[in-house]
Amino acid sequence: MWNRKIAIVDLSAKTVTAKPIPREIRKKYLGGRGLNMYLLYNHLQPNVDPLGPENLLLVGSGLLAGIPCLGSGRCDIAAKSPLTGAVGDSNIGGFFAPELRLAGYDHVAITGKADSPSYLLLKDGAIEIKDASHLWGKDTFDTQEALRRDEHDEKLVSLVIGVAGENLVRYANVRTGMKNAAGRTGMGCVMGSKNLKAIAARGTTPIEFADPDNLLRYCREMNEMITSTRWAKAQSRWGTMIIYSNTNTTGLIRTRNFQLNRLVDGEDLEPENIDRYSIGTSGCFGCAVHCRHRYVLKEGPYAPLYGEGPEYTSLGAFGTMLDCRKMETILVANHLVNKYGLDTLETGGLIAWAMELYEKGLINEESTDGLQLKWGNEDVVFDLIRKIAYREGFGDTLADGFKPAIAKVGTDSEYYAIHVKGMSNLHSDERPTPSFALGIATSTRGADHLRSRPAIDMYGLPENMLKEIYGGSVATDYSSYDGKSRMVWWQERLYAVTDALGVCKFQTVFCAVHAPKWREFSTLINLATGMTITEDELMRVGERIYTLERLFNLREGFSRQDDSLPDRYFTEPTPIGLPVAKGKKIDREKFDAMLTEYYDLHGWNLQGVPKSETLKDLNLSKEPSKLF
Amino acid sequence: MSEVRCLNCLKRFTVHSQVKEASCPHCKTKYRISWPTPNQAKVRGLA
Repeated sequence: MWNRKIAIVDLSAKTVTAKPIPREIRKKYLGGRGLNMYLLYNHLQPNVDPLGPENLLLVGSGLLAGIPCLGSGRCDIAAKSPLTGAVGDSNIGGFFAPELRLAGYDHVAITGKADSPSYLLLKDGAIEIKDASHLWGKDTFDTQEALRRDEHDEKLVSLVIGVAGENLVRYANVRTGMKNAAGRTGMGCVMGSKNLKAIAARGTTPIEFADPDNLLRYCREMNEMITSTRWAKAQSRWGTMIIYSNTNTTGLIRTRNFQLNRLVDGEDLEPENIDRYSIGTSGCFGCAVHCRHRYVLKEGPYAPLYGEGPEYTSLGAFGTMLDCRKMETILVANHLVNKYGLDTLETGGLIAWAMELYEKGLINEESTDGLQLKWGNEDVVFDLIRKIAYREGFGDTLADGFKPAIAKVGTDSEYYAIHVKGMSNLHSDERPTPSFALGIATSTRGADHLRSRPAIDMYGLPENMLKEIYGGSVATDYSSYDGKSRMVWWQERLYAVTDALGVCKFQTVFCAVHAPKWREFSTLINLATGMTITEDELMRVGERIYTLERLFNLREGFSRQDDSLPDRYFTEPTPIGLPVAKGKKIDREKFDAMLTEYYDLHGWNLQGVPKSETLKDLNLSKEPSKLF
Repeated sequence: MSEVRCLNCLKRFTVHSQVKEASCPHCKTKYRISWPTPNQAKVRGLA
C-alpha cells in the first residue's frame, strides 16, 4: 500500500482521526508540499492568527518518500507563517518522511492547542498525544535523545523544536537529526504555539510499491545519472559550501549586510578548509551524494563540539554578511542555531541588519544591552543568537522578524532591512542576476532561493539548450532580462513538484543541467504508485500548487506591490567584483516588465490575480473543497 | 588535465594537472585552482 492515510489531530479536544487520501486528490497535488497547500488553502479560515489554536499545522511526506534514490526522505511542514502572514512551509530532509510512512501515515494535520507541553507519537498505525513536560526547555539534540530513551527505541525518528520554538521566536524551525531543518517561515514557532514539542514516528509496515523490481532498477539509473554530474561530484566532496568559491570570487555575495558583494580576505571560508574539522560525510535517506560534513572542534572555547554541515547558507549568514572570516565562527554559530532551533538565514540576516544600524548610529549600546555590534565580532554574534532564542533584551526585538523589529527600532532602519514579504533573503546578491532577483521577489513565502532559483542561469548555456529546457527563448547572459521570467516560471513549477514528490532539489535541475526532471519524475511516479501522470500533467500540477499558494497570499492581503525588492537593489550598484558583476543594480522599469511577463506566463492578470480561465484550466475553480 | 569555467566570461578552459594557478585564455582573468579529486579542478578564488 503506497497511499497511506492522513491523521487529523485536534490537540485542544485531544482527538485523533484518520482518513484515506483519495486518488484524485493525489493526482492533482501528489503529496508533500502539494497536498499540504491543498489542505492549507481549503481547511484554514482566512486571516487567522498564525499563533492561535486555529492555525493548521501540516506535516506531509512526499509522494515518493521511501524510494532508494534522489534523497527521497523529504517531508514538507506547512501552516500560515507567523513570520510573514503568508504561506508558510518548509521542506526537511533526513529520515522522518519514510519513517512516517512506515508508521502508517503520509500526512498529519494538527489543529488546536495542547493545554500543556505534549508530543505526538505515531507508531505502527497508532497515534498518541503524550506528555512532554520533561522535554520543555531541552535543546533539539537532547530532545531527540530523550524521546528515544523514553520510548525505549533507538530507531525512533522525531521532528522537534528547541527553546526558540517554545519561546515563539517567529522564525524558529523544526529539526530532525543533527543537521536537517525545516528552516524557513517559522514552522517551529507554530509548533511552540500549540505546545507541541515533537512529533515522533516509528513503523515496521513495509511500503508496497506498484512495480518494485523495475522501480529498483530505475532508481539505480537515477543514482548513476545524478552522481555523474559535475555538480554532484563537487557537492559530495564539500557539500553546498562548494558554491562559495564561485559566488564570492565573482562578487555575488552580500557582505556587511548589503554594503559589499564580496568578502575580501575570505579565504578561510573556502570549502577546502572544512577538511581541518571534518571526520567524514553523511546523507539523507535515499541519497547517493552525501553532501553534509560531520565536523568536530577539538580546541578553543567552544570545544569539544560535534556538528553537521555547514551549508553554503551558513557561510553567508554567519560569515560574509557579518564580516566574520573564520571557518570556526561558522561552525560554532551553525551549531548554536541548530541547538536552539533557529532559522540560520533569518538569524544571520537580522544580526547583519542590526550591525549595519549600529555602524550607521541608528542604534547604540543603550538599545543593544551594551553589546557592541561591530562587524566580525563573533562573541557578540554567539551571544545574540542565544538572546534571540531566549528572547532576552535586544534579542527579543530581533525575535519577531523584520517587520516588527523595524517598527520597534524606527522607520529609518527600514532601508537597511534586506527582506521580501517580511522574510530575510539569503546572502546572495541578486543585483547582477535579474532571474534570481525576480525569483526572490515573487516567491510565495518571502525572499527565497528555493522556490524558483534558476541556478543554471550562471553557466552561460547556449541559447538552443536553454530553449530546449525552458520551452522558449532565454538569453545566455545572466545579466540580461530577456526570457528570465520564463526561467523563473519553469523552475517554480519544477520545484513545486519536487517538493510534492519529496525528493531533493539538488537532485533535479537546480545546479545540475543533466539531472532528473519531468520525464524521470513521471516514470518514478508510475513505478512507485501505478498512477500515470504525463510530463505535461506534472507541469500542470506544479502550476496548480503555485497558483494555490498565490491564492492563499491574495486572500491574506498580499498583492503585486509585495512582489518587489528592497530599495537598495534599485539604487545602489554593486561596488566590487569581476567585470561581469561589478556596477550592477536592478533596473526598475525592466524589472516591472519582467514581473508583468511572469504573471502572464502563469495566467494571472496585471495585479497578479489568477484569471478565471486559469483556475478553470487547473481545475481550481471549485476550491475551496474539503478533505476532512 | 581538467576543465574549469571562467567566472567572468563563462567560457570553459583546460588546466593542467595539479596546477595551482591558471588564467582564462579568453578574458585573461587569473584564478587560483584547487583539486577536489586528482582529475577534477575547481576555481578557488582570484590569483
